[in-house]
Amino acid sequence: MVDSRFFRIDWIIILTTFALVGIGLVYQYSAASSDIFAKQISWVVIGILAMATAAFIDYRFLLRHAYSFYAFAMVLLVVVLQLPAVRGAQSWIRLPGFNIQPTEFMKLALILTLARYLMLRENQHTIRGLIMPFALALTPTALILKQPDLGSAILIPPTLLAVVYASSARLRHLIGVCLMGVASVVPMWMFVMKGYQKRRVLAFLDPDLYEAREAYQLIMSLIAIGSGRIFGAGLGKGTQTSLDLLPDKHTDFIFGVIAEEGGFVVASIVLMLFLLLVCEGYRVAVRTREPGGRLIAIGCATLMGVQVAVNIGVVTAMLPTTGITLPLISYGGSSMVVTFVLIGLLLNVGMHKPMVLGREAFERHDDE
Amino acid sequence: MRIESCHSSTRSVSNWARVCLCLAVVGYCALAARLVMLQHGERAQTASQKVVSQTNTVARWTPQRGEITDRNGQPLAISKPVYSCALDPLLIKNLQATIETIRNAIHLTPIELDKIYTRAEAEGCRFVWVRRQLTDTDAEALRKIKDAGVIVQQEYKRVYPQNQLGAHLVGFTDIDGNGLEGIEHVCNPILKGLSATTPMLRDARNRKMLQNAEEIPESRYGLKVEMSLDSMIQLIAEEELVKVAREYSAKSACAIVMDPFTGDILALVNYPSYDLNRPTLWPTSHRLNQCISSIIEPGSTFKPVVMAAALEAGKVRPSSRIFCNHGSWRMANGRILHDAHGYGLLTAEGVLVKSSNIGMAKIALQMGAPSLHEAVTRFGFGEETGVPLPGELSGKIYPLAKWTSYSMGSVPMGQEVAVTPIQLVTAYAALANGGDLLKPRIVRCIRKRDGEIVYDIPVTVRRKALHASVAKTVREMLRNVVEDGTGKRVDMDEYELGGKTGTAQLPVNTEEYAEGQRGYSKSRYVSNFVAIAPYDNPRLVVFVGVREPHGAHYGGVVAGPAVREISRRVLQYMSEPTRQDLAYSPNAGGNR
Repeated sequence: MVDSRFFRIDWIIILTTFALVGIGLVYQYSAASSDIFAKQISWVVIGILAMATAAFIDYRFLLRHAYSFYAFAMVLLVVVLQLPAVRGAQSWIRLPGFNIQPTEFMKLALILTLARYLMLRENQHTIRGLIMPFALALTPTALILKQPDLGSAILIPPTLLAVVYASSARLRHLIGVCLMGVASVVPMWMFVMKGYQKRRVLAFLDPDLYEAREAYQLIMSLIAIGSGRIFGAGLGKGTQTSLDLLPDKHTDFIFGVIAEEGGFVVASIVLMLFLLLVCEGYRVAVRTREPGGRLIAIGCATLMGVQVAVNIGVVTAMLPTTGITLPLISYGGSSMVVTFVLIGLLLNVGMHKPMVLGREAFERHDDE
Repeated sequence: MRIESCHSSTRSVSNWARVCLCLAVVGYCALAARLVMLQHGERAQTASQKVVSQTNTVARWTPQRGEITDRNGQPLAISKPVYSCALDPLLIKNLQATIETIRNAIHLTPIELDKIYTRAEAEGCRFVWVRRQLTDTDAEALRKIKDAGVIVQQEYKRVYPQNQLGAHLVGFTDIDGNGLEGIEHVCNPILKGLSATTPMLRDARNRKMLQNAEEIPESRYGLKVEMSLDSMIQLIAEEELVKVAREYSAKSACAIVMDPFTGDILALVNYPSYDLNRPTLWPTSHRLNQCISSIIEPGSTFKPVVMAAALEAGKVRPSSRIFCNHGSWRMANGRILHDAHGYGLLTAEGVLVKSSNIGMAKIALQMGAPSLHEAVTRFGFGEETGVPLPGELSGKIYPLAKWTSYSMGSVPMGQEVAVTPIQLVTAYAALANGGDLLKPRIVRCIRKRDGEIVYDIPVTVRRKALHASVAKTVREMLRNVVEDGTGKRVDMDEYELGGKTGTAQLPVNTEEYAEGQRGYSKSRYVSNFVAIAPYDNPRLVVFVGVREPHGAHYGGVVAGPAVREISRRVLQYMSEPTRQDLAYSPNAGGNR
């Protein structure tokens, strides 16, 4: 007996995901040691299981417990700040056998919590209505910044804006908030940012001046991408990769490896696959009338889309270095599993299209 | 209220979706545009060039410097692999922390620290020595540091296993293995070999990887230099020379032991000397090789040369009678010559045995100035012997045109001429070997690393200086000098030496000049002795010169005993049969 939901699986999302994971493994094989490659394969397997789980548990069940997840994630975020730093950041809780990155857990919890909070309310078009969702999102963001994990923190505001906007917030309010955010850069620079973060930004603005240290990775990345040209150096033949010249080549800078060894062809295919994934995510959201599911889909698609854009932006030196993985492709367990769960949630929402009685969710009428 | 199902969402897409999709598409298109910008055209070109320039490199291969051995293959200079530590500041994240780790591993002096900091902090610097030629324990400690910027690399250190032995012949190198003195300097290109470069790929840690390994041809390796020196003979000579120099508190002294038939320098000693492993701890004056780079007036040691020349010219015979005016003779130019002891009639041989200045002058007068001048130059005085060491002097023989009537009194007794000890030894070697004036040999052959001879340096006869029969006659005269002349202290039971003493006064120095002395000093001498051992079957020519001895100054007294001891010990070492051996087994002399 096959569940009829099975046939409603969004196969485009699945195929796109597997194509990206496949490409990722091919270039991991070139960039990483065999040891790491083997681990990556096991993470992919675990990720697929996690995706299946996330897809087949009814998301409404998850929504019901969203606040508990959120509370638990907050506790972890506080706990992690009490632990000693690993590689200069307090991002990891070390447990026997594996490590937990509370930030990744928070990403999921936050999407569910925002959906849960907003699905039942209709005052988002007023400024007052925005206070609570912003508080829910920005509190963990502040804790994440404290670790410091700028890369993860930067993903939350766009996700928040997308979710809030989709739940009928006014564009002008959001633009206003954005402008405030931009204005806050000045006090951030002066009081919050650490020396190495400032140097990264300066190095990004003027790579030649910081060639030796801060901008070294950036310059190596640009050389890798540039030397890839149209068709690339060929798998395993990129010198930036094989000679270890590109730091973090199998994690944050894997896109540099792809661009060097696969050239513009493979790099742009990867880019298009990600865009396809994001668009499919939004399509799921549009087709879902149930507000909680729609918001989950929007949150997942936006989070993933922004993460990809920021990562590739960093690797191509369009953005300052933040330390963020390329979903589905970079090496790393937490990132891999969480991305699969996000995709699982998308599939989940796509499959459960419950009947909704009522008007279009969050649709305001001009007569209001 | 409308009833809608999820399957019928055909209505127009809402605002939020349009904005989000637009942003996504625009963002990703921007990224794609960026890729196009980076991967096409000029930027891609530059990047490709950079890939080549930053990864392709060459590795410089420096061969191990060749060994220097003595004639028996005993090593005098070897190159030992050692580790040196350097930093690549570009690969170091925190210089302070890295240097702190290094300081935990090895002790660094404040001066070293200061140097490292100044150099490492310079712009664009990629190589700073921490310390070169580390001890084994230090190297081990430094190799444990896991830092890409700390480089521990192998180089070679020159080690002189016999320390000061043969210092002035062997010489030493600088820290980069360039010979600075002696054979190390003269044979530097041979010892050093040819460095080679191989194309390599360089990774981020500046580790080099061989692209296609190519065997380095044997011809690029440094060659082995085998010297004529014999460590044992050198050791004996050094011991005896130091003994005599200390006994008479001499300012300096030198000794040469030569094989008269090949010109091989078996030993060459200078006092004071220095340790080749730590040459900078001694004053540079200790590096002076007096045997070739200092000149002396030979004094009486010159007389056998004049005597040989006169015999060769047929102006005298050993038995010719010469009147020696009882120790004081006024020459035609009014100069008065003196002898230490007055003699009446002496044979020509007696003149040499008693070292009579008057007799020698009369013999020289019989020869005439041109003939004497020609003979002196024929024996190699006034020209370099060609010994392959840096800094050889040619001595000084005035050209005939500058000779005065005084010269005929001075030259025969070894004044007015300036010679180097090596010239004197070479001239005596000609007397010993039957008349061949040789080029002294310091390097016998050049060998490959495995010992195969590449180049054998031939024995070079510069010219025939005199007939063998004349040489034999002079040797017999020299034997008499030792037996009952001025060199009696040199005589010994074991071997029959022939030789000649020499006591030359040094010219006055500025101090003595200030005190009103003129010409030669009355208190400062050079005591010389040159011996041919044994006289009738020469195996060695031994020279000892002691400069400014205190307590005694006659050559026979100061230098003589040293020559005797050197000769005895060396001949014993060479298993030369002693007089007693010969007396008991008459056949032993059969091969003479």
